[in-house]
Amino acid sequence: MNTRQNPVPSWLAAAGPTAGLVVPLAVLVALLSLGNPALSSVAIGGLANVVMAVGLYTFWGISGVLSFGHIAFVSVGAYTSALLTIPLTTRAFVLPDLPGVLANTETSFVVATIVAAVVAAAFSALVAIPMMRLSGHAAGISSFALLIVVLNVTTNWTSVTGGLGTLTGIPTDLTLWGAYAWAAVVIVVAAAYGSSPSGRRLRASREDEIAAQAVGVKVHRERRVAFVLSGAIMGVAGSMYAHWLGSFGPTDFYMDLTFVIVVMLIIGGLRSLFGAVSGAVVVSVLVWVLARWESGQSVAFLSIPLPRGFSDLVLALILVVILLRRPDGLTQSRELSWPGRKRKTQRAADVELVEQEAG
Amino acid sequence: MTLLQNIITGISVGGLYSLYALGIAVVYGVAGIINFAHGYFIAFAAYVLLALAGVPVLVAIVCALAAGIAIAVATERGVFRFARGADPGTLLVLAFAVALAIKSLLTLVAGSDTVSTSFGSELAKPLQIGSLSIVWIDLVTIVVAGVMLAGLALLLNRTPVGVQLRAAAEDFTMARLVGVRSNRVMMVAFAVSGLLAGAGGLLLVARSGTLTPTSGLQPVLIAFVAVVIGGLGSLPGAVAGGFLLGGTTVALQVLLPEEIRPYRDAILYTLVIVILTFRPQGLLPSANERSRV
Repeated sequence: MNTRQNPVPSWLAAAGPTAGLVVPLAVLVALLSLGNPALSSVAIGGLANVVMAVGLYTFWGISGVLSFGHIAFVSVGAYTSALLTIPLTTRAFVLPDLPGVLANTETSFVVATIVAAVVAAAFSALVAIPMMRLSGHAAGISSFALLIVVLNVTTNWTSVTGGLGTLTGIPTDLTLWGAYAWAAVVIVVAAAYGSSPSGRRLRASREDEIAAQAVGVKVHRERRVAFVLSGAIMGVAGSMYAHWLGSFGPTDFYMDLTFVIVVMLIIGGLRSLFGAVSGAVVVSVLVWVLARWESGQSVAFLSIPLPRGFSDLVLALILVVILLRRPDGLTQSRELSWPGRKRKTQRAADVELVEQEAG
Repeated sequence: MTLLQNIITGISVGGLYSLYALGIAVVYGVAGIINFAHGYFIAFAAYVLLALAGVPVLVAIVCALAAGIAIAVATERGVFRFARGADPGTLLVLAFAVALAIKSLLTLVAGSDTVSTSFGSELAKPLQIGSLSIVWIDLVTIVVAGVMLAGLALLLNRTPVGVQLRAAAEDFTMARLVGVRSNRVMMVAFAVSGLLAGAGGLLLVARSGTLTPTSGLQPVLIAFVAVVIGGLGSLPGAVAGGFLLGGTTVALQVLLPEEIRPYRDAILYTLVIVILTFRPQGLLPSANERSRV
């Protein structure tokens, strides 16, 4: 196909599917905002999950290199944001041994979130230097190693993180619409990156690394770009998480959270943004419903008594079934497309995009 | 004398890590799965041991080992058999899912609280040889690891099923063509890994005296690292990786100054990333794992 004959430029082609994610999400949020405050709080957590799933998609989904270490960047973002926003009077009490600058700087949530994204991006740029040279199993193992390193440091660096205990005193000033705004920004950024030349080159390397190298794609460099961008998105999610709950500890950002986000991404569809967002929404709702039943409450007047720990079992079994029966997820890793255009598989769309790139 | 003592501790920890790593390596060799669920096989066997608190110790130990084998074979029959030939990433995530399923089952049945046991508490006493003082459990660990390693070597080199196992690990399709029954060899591989998990679970409980559903996490992460450092698909590599990791852990614990000792794991796992950067195929890669392009 020749680019000059293509009536829809790439950014516009991406705009449709992006609007198709952002607008329904806004409708969902508007409906939830009519409910009680408890429901809003749950929805804020759900939006933080959406941001994490999109962040993981930005690297894993587009590059095809698996990562179990991304929650480390959420941890970095959460601590950065907390250290900037805990009120100074509280801070002197909960973290008495903070070094000078950190002890005396207080910012708003928005500024703190931007700084959290920058710090998480800088950290991911640093670890990308060795890690992005790896692929396959070595990449998977090194991502676990990263998670362990960050947990070990956040647990023991007591003067800055408060140590193994819970860090408290973070203002819970994240509103439902504020959370939605961050999620929407992140979705737009991820979609723009996914349809950019860099994102397409990376996707080409996912489908066939050697062929992509042969046509001149610098695979390691493209992976680093995606890794840093996804690190920044995870940093935003960390800040949201901190300001959603108001308190957290180092072990909140370890295997359990990693697992939930991986489940979201795989159930929705690993290789599409639509899959990441819908997976996050579906799993968030499912976890919430099961958690309510576990604690003996009702959902839509229906109450099924479930033993504690049941929701993890359900998630695990759903994941097994999806992996065996529908490995491309509920969305088959498709993106939304303009109404009327024939739906095509993500793989076919990618092949077409690569052909466009080549002219 | 303290040097000798530390070396013995290093060998003991290294032997334990080798058992963990071998369980991963045996399955990886045949099935191509990096089995994240292995850690929860370990936890499962340990819970069975604790559930049999009243019965004679020997019976309980045998039951725990059998439970390790049973859960490993069950996951092969129930899940992994249906995913043969899937790509490595899918298999890894699948193993991750099985791990969570076993963990949540353990939580449902036994609760998420820490359980303590007196199993192995008499082994915490030191054995005094001159000025040398060795904890009994270290000796037991070394003996158990030695017996398991020797037994596995015998099985692989001296029995027909062992030869079939090695053949399947070398080239699964070719092995099937010359008459190796794939279901059987797969089951044997999982059974061996389950036995190793059972032994690892017993040692884990005897060393720590406590157990939670997440007790399997640390061992499986150690095993992953040991296997990848040693060279995926290579059984001697897994053993070497286990001893290297165990020895380095003990050495860091002894040599690091007091104030940075809490960061031991951070240093250890940073080293892991650095080693992988320079040797992504591990230190002793097996021949058929080398990239051909």
